[in-house]
Amino acid sequence: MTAGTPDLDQLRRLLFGKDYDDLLALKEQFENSHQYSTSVASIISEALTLRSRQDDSLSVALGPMVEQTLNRSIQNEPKRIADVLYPVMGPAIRKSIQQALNEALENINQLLEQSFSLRAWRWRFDAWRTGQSYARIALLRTLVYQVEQVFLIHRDTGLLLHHIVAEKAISKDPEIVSGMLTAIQDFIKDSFAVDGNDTLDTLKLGELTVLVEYGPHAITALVVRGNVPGELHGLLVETSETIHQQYARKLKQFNGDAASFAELDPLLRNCLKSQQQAHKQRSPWLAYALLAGISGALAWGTYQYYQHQTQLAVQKAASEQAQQAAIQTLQTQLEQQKADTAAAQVSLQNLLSQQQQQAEEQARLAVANAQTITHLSHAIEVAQYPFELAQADVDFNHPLLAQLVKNILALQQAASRNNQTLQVMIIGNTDDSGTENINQRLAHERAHNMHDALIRSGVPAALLAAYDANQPGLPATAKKNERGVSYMVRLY
Amino acid sequence: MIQKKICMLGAFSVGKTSLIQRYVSSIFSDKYLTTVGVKIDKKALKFNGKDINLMIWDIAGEDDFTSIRTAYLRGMAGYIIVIDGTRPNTCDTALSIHQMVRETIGELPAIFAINKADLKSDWQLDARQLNKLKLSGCPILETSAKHDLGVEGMFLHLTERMEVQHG
Repeated sequence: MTAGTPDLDQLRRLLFGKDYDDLLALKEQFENSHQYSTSVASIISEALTLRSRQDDSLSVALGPMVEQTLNRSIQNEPKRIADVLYPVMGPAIRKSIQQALNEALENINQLLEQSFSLRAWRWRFDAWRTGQSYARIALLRTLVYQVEQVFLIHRDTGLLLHHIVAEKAISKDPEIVSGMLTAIQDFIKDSFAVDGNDTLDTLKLGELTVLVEYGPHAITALVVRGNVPGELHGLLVETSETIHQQYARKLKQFNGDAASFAELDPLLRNCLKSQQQAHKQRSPWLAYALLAGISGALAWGTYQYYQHQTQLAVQKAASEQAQQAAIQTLQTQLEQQKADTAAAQVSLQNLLSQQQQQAEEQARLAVANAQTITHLSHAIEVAQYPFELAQADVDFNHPLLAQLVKNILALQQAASRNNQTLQVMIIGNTDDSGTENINQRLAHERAHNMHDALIRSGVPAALLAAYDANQPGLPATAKKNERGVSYMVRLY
Repeated sequence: MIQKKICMLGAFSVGKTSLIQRYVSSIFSDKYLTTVGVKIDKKALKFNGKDINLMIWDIAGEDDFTSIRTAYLRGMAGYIIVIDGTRPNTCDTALSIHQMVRETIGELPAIFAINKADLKSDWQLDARQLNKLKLSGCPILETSAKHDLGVEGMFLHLTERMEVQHG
């Protein structure tokens, strides 16, 4: 606006009055960038908030700027962003890793369980028999329940808005199924003339249940296998309500394009609940039995082994003992024998010495005996019994006779000791007086009488022989001129 | 991906099911039709570069004893009324169905299909009946499920009309 002439300015003032100053002030505010910034700053937050409520244009407009700013910030100083993100990223990464590990462990565990248990083999048989996959059979047998499919169906058209199917579950053409679900609903209503507000909320076939929740514009249906828990109904109703809150307009204006309902995926996926059969912690009897069997066998084996060893040891010990005993016995025997030998030697020595002694003794005795013999022989041979003249009688009580007997007997003993046989010849003698005949008879009588007297006195007859002095064969020395008898001792 | 619900209507034994069988490979057996009164099939096609799924509701035929369950018609984007050219009364039934739909559901893209074109020499439709059909303003197509004549064209034509209506 140009300044114009003072008149014009005057005219303006007259026309607008006090508002003219305000207008000028406003103009000034827009033209002065500082003032303008100040005035915009005071309302910019409110303005942004208001606009973001109206539509998404703000995020569209700011999106590239924010991205660019972030990009630059990361490029300039990555550490700062890292520091900012650290408290968020750390736990997130940890959680993610932990979850992955847990899942891996769980999988391995299940794999092991399914590979080795009797139950698993039964399932395999069932799978083979029914022609279904093993995974499906296993799932069916272990689940208490599982939400297999979630349908979001447009109520008026029966067209499918969104569909979610659980892993491992089988889903036939969901568009057709959703149509049939609504058709069946209509069919039931028509067929049984139920109250207009009543709806078919549960379909059940065998272990399969379809829970249906009718909203004003959309039908939410859960296909559940197994025993449906009560809370699923609640979850279904909540989900349906949430959908109607957020998408009422879109549902009303639905013309067959279901693309925008893909945003409901997380909400519907939340309904894919399932509960596995609580793994009953049954005691694994079979395994225990096997273990016990093995342990038993081991223990028995060990026991047997030790028993055997002990027996062997005992046997060995016994044999060793026996051997030792034998050795000891042998040693004892040896010692005994040694002792015996020693004793024998001693005794032999003794014997030898004895023998020697004996020999000596014998020799001594022999000498003594010989002396005795000589002495006694001499004593006998010199003995004189004084016969009376011309008499041949022998007085038995004569001391000479007794002496003679005693000597003869002693000599006999000595001779026997000397292994000699004694013979005492009694030779009758006479003196020169008398006749030959008489003398001869007398000598004979005298000899015989003495012989008899000696026998009677105890001398054995075998020792004695009586002769006449004149008897031929006798030595000449036998004949003596005396009245008596002489003796000749002979030892053989 | 756009989904459209369309209904096959018409008198009893005019060949609705045979026409659908010509067009789609079904996952349900025909017994649904007699038990529940409806059988649904799907046909995926491309129209003007758009992926379209036609959900085809085969609705049990109407005769003197049974009437169409109108609940099944709710939400459809278009419909085909099938007439047996050899039976003139099926044309009257077709017209009454058309009237009924307009009254209960509203104005929707529709097509009249005069089936059994293979037996055209035996057709007994008179000029008055054909005129009435023409007066309805709906396209009248001749089809033969037996010889696969005009079947796909019929569905495409309906699709086109539905697309035009919805933009």
